Order: sequence, then structure tokens, then C-alpha cells
Amino acid sequence: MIETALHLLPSTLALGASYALVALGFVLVINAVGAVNFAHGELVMLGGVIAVGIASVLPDGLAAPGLIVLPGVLLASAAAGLGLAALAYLPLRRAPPVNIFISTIAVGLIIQHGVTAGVGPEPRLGPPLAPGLDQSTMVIMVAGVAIAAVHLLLSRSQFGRMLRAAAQDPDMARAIGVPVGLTIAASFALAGALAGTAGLLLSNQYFVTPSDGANLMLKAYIAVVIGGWGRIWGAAAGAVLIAVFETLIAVWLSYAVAEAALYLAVFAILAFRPQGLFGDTEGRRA
Amino acid sequence: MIAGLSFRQVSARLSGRDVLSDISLAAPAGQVTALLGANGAGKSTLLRSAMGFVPLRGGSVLLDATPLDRMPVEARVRAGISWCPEGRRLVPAMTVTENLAVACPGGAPARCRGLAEMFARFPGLAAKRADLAWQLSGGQQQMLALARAMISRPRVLLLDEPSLGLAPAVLDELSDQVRMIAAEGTAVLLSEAHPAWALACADHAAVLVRGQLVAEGTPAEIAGSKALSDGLLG
Repeated sequence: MIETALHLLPSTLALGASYALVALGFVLVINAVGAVNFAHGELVMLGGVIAVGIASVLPDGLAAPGLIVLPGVLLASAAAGLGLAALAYLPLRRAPPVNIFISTIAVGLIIQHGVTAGVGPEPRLGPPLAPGLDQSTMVIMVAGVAIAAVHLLLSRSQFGRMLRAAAQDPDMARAIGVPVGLTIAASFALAGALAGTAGLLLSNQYFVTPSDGANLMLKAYIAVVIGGWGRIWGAAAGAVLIAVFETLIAVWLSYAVAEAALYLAVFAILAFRPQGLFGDTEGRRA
Repeated sequence: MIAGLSFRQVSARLSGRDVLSDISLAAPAGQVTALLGANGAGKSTLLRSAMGFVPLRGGSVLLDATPLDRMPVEARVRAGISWCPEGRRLVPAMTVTENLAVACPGGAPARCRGLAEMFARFPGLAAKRADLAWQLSGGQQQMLALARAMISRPRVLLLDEPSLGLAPAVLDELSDQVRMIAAEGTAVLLSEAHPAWALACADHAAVLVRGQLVAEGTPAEIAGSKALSDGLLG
């Protein structure tokens, strides 16, 4: 039992790291526009499909096909994030957040069915990052670099400060000269890039299927609930926790029980610790 | 034309109610102009209208001789208008330094200079530079909000209810800071529901009652006026 768990540790952490990228992008958009992006899971799936597509035109026998497609996936997914903002957010930016829930669901469905119509509904295998090296280790490394880059951007750069100020209080941010439209667009682009990277990272061990989106979106949503609504690093930690929880229960009982237990755990968190598992309740308000 | 901020016959309606009616008022450069009145008299709305947050129904807001009416908020900030809002509205989870840096225009060297200048000016903040904004006392938070508004070197400072909830010792420090800002040539428009402190700090004062300007004069004239006592009763 414990041996099995230890054996699964690398792949569990790799899954957790990929979920963390999904959750990071998801929470960035929540903070930027105050609304949930229900198409986020589809952006992840789209990243996987783009990775499969670029990899299919690469010659065989490359040392690191997954790493070679990464820049293309990043760019295309960031563009997809911007496209999502232009379609689902921009026309409704003065409307109540519930409208954005619905418009993102609509765009998510368009992406899902567009991909199904374009390449078919069957699962596809994404490129391994570097076939000579352990895939799980490589996934953890790539995700780690991406998370560190986001952390540096948000905490150390003027642009990150602007992003955080605009997320906290958009009107006040405008009044101190923050280009709030630009920070929102950047949040969507960054969310898309992170989602696409996660899609690439997941595509080799878990395949890419056009209907994957909803499940991934739910995982991100749960990660944000666990981590505390709107807390960026809480969401990333929540994502890793979900992966560990899922794997442990799945090894012990079954995957179906693991999914059920996850949702039960979320109900329990919402009921008894609605501020999330991590950190304090103060500090959100001055 | 006067240098500074002027309102010319400004009117505004919000949710079917006249919140500003035909207001003409100047906040000249180098002076503190106090805007007094009860809560709900329209003081904050007038300040927000200069910032571009309130659509005008009539009239015009000018910086020197330039009408601001078609400018979005961001352009007004660049033109030199700065807003220190009621309730301060800092980013609670950012440090003192970060709250200041994010409001500083220009590249990294300009930010360094701006921060150094503000820390020299507000020594209390320099000692707390690595603290998160929500950890500061009310007085320190007000100083941080004021420093954030000044780091862009504005020509006009809109200062909304800065004295709210502050201890007398902090009020003295705040008056010194506001007087110094005006002495450097900035036009300060100071909105206050509590007149004694504001009048002591101001060069000129005006009283707002239900969206209308009912009196204007020197602090001494306004201090004893019936308009002020009536105005404060709403």
C-alpha cells in the first residue's frame, strides 16, 4: 500500500503540478474580471490539441518533441485566451458577472465542438517532453519553471503590481494610472498560456479528448475553493492537494470513489471553512 | 484663467437625482480649498467628477484652461490630477513599497526616485516599507494613501475625507503634509465633513448643500457663517 503510494509519487506530483498550472490561470482571470471563466478547461484541452497538431508535423526521433512544441503551444494558447476575452468578456464587461459565466460556457462549448468537428472525438496521444527522460520528472520541472515565472512576474515586476492592484480595485487602479484594459487582456493571455502548457503536460500521460474541458474546469474550481477564493498560491497548492487526494483514494479504493470523495471534501470545506484551507481570513480587507 | 482646477457650472445626475447642480468653483494652484458639507451633500461626487468617474450633465471641469470632459480617467491622471479617495482604498495585501511603486509613472529609475522622495517626505512610512498595507495603523494608512497620490507629482490633489477616524496627533501631521503640498504649488481640493480641522488647514472654503454651492469665502468668513451650520445639518 505505502509502497504503491511511493511508487506513484512522481506521477501524482506531475498531475498536481499540471493541475496547479490550470488553477493558476483560472484564478488569474477570476481576479482580473471578478467572474468565473467556464471555458478554462477547454483552453487546457485546446493546448493539448495544439501540442498534438504541432508534434504531428515534426520529424520522428527528436530528443525533446514536447519541449520543441512548447513555445508554439504557449503563443497559440495565449492567443486563444485573448480570443476568449474578445468574444466572451469584452462585449459584456459592463454586464453583471453572471452574464460572463454564461458567455464563457458558450465559448467553451464552441471550442469543444469545434475541436470535435475538426479532428474527431477520439483521444489522442500528445508528445512526450523528452522521450529519453522520465516524463513525470520533466512535467514537474516544466510546470515548476512556469509557476516560478508567474510568481516572479506577479511579485517582482511593475506589471505584476499593476495586475494585482487592478484585481483588487479596478477604479482605484485606473486613478493611479494603471491601464486596466491592458491588465485584463494580459490576465486572459497569461491564463491561456498556462492552460495550454498544462494541456501539453497532461497530453502524454492522460491523452487529449475534446470532452476533457468540463472535468479540468471543475478541478480548477475546486482548487480555488480549497485554496481560498481569489488566492493565487492557495489555488496552486489546492491543485496539488487534489492530485494527491485523487491518487491516494484511487489506489486505496477506486477512481470513481476518489472523484466522489473529492466532491464530498469540497462540500465539507465550503460548509466548515469557506475561506479555504490555507491562510487567514484577515488581510483580504484593510 | 487661473492655474489649477476649475469647475464651471457643473451638473450631474445619478439614479434620477440631481447630485450636483450648477457648481462653479476654483481650486487654485498653491492653495488648499476646503469643500465642506454634510454626508451626501455631493462633496465626494464633485471630486469624482474631476477624476472622470461621474458623467456630467452640464458644465465643464478644467485643468488650467484645458477642459477635461472628453478625457478618460487614465488621461486625467497623466495630465496631473490625483485622487486620494475616502476610505484610502490601498491594496491591503501589498507592501507599503509596492502600493507606492504601482502608482509611480515611468521606468525603474523613476520609480526608485519617486520612492526615495516619498520615504524622505513620510519618514513614518519609510520605517514600515516592508509591511503589508493592512497591517498599518489608520494614520499610517492615510499617509500611505497620500504618498501614493503624490508619487506621480500631480498638479491637482483631490483629497477626500482624509481626517476620518484619525487621532489628533495624526491630524497635525496630516495638516503639515497638506500645507507643504500646497506650498510646492499643487492645487489641493479637500473635502471634509468635519470643518474645524479642514478650515484650519485651508486658504479658501466652500459649503455644499444637497448638490448646491451655498457659500464661499475665507476660512474665517465660512467658520462663523450660517451657511456652514445649516450645511452641516444637511
